[in-house]
Amino acid sequence: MVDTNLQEPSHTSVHAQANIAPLVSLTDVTKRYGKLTVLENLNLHVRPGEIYGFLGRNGAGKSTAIRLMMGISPPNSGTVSVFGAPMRGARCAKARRHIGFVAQEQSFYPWMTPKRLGKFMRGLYPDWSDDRYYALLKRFELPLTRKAGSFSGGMKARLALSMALAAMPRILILDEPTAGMDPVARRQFLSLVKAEVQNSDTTVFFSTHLIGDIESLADRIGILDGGKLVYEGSLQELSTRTASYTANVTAETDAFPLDELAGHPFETIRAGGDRTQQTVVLRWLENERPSIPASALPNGWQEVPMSLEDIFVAIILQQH
Amino acid sequence: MVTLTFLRKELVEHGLAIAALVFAVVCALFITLARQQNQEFSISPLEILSYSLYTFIPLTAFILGNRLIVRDYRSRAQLFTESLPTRRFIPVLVKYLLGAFIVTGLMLITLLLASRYASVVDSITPEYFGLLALKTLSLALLYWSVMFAISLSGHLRLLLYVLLIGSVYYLLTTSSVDVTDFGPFALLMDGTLAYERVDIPYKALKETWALTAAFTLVGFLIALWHEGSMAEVLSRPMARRDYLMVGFIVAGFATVLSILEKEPSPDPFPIATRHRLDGDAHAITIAYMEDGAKAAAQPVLEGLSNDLDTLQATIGPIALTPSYIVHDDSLASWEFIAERADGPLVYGNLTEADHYDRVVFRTTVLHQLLLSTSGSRAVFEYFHWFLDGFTRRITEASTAASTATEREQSRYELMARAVISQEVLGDKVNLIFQWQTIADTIGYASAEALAYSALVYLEEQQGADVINDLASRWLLTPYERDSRASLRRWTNDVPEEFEDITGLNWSEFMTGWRSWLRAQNDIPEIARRTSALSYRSGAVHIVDNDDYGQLLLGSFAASDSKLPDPSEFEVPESSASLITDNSLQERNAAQTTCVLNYDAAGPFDTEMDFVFDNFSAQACEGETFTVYDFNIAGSGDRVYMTLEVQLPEFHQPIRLHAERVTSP
Repeated sequence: MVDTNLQEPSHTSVHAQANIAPLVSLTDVTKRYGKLTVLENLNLHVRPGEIYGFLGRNGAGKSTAIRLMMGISPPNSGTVSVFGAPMRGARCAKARRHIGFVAQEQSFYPWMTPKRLGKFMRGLYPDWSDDRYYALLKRFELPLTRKAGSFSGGMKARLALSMALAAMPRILILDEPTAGMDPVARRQFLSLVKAEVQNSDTTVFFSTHLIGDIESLADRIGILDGGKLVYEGSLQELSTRTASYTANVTAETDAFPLDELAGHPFETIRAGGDRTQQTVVLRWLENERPSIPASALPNGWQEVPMSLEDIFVAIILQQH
Repeated sequence: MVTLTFLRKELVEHGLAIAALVFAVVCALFITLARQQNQEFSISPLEILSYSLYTFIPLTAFILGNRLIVRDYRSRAQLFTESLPTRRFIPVLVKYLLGAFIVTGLMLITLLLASRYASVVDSITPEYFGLLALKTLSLALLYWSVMFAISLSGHLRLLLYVLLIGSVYYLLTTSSVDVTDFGPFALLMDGTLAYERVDIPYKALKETWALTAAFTLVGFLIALWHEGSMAEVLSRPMARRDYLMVGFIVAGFATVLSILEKEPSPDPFPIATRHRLDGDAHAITIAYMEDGAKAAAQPVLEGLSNDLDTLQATIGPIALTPSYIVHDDSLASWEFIAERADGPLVYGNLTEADHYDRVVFRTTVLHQLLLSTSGSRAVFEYFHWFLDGFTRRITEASTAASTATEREQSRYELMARAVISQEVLGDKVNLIFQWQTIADTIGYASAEALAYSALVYLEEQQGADVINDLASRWLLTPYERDSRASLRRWTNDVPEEFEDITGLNWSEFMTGWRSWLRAQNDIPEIARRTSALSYRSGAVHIVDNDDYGQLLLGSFAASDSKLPDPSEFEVPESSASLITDNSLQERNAAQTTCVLNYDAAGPFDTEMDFVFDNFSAQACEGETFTVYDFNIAGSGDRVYMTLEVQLPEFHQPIRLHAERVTSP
């Protein structure tokens, strides 16, 4: 089930852009590798100026979707458009001039130093800014003359981010950039990303399997599971429309009165449990969840607060 | 702009290595040219073009393939490269063009240098230079294209190099397919690469260009196939599954080659002399080389024609190759040299040869003929004894150009030789399983006599037909070399096959034959000959000597005498009995001569030619005798030594012992 109700993003420069053509658009995209269908009829639209969080478990198809966006891989069916034009043939190379990309595994030429990489990238990106690049390198505390191959994972990620941002991209695509980082490095990296993009016009497409990575960044998220988009909307909406109720099962426990919620269109994300405990997770489709006082809940039931991660897990488990 | 950026990247990464490579190659070129100029018989400096195409240029292409491509893919930077604002083929194209530029550039430098040197004595016209450039640059570009494609094959590249080198080697050396007329082989191996001034080898050039295009295409296909995933996967280290696959491919390749293998037909032996006799019914040529030898050639021709008639009458019509016997008066009467052209080629001294010697020549021809017919199967140890005995049996039975007395004496001599051989070897001799050892120990002449005697015995036991049946089975069945036939042969039990055909158990046959052979010594004509030879055993040693450093010693003893102690040997003060005239004829004197033959033996040398360059011969008498010579071998060298006795009762020397001794 895909919720396509798009909320206004909170990102400063995105206000009043809801009707503007998306910067990146995947329409009915299917991608197969042999007999394995990795993406199936995927529809995904990233608006100019927004920070889009792309969530999904490992193997959900996030990196494949990004390869399609980058024009590295063509879809089997459907259309991939970036900057309003399909990503095909020579158009891919042109479009990439305005895309900053940070891959999951940073794999630049290991013999190059950041300084040499800067010179190399300058020849490829027309809007490349040496000033910004060196400023970022300084800010990220990266040595100029050490070979990139000898960098730690965190340093490589910061170098990749520096290069991606110095290209002055219209869209920055981050493909699980924090994968493999220790918690400290991850937090530092995310704060750098936040600082660099939050007050700029750059559109950001941030793919991750950790909702914490994008919790404080994303205007909108898409949740991918098994090659399908199972949720698309804002984090706030996800949080305010979802509720979890639980009951310790006793002889006096009543059944949860789902019928009484009629008039508030909802879907049941989870309902079940065992002999001792029952849980119901509901998501309202049109409005915020209705306020149900504890006293109004049936005998034995109580509302349990949910973190975004709990909601993400519940939505993913709903599919299986 | 993007292309230039990638080119700059390659130059920064590999510039130093490329400069060093170019410098090294140019230095090597200068050195080679200088050395060539200083040689006593200097050839054209343009010869260095071929030399470079065999050495520097392929090596350069190989190094560049590893630097530009293998290294890049190993660095796992593919995703990064693909995410850059460029089309996927651009980085690959830049690598290809850069490699092509360097390889052809080096070739051009070579050509310019060689032309500069050659212009001193030769006229290097623009047309000539253009033709040289066209041919050499085409080859250089092909080399690079091959290395480009193979380098992109990642972990399979070593396998591909092996297969490539193996295929080229196979095509050039073993295969019946003549590739020297094709494309690059034609350009490179023609011998006129550097000298042809006019003719443009369009065919070879087109084929070379087609190959270049094919390898280039394969390279780009690997690099771009499935969004570059093939090259990326191939660049990963080999997994166990890949090793298995490589093993299967190599084994399959070798098997296919062995199945497809056809031995090339050798060229006909060119006999241009008018001093020749040709057979009527058979393709036999006796080249007698001088007018005086014509009369001696005639009985050989008649005898051999008769042998071939007998052979075909005995075992049925078989395709026979031409046979050649060439007179060589530098050889001793009993000596012959057997070679192979498009058929047997035997050198012998026809004018010195008598009936016995002529039979030996003819036997050698038949031996070689049946070798060809059986695809060399007959020399396998299991069948070799039969081949030797069977051929001698045919020539001994021939009545052409010989008298009854000659034939009778010949057979007595042969049987006497067999009797002595058995006495030397002892009772455990087994013809099927020890033939190589037997032939090595007592020499081919005596081994042949043993085999002949075994067939005489077999004929007495079971009749002549079983011998012909054995010949059909063992000598006429063409030997297949492919792997399937090898597997079949594995399960082949030769003694069982012998029993199937003859009805005799092999062990019982051997026992019966040995008893029968011993009894042959009761025949006076045989006994006269066997008793003429006093010695039945021998031993060889290399000993230290105060005066001469080291001595080679060969000791002979009668069967009931102990071999002399080598440490007690003293060099005689008089060397009167030492035959110093180093000619083989000298050994044919009407006296018993003991001979120590010796030669250097390589680590894997098995059988040695029975004609030795080095020998020491002395007239010998008494129950024991020792022949000596001075050791010229270095410490640790292996010396192959044989002991032979030459006596008037036997045409060929009788070998008593053979051994490989390491020089202390």
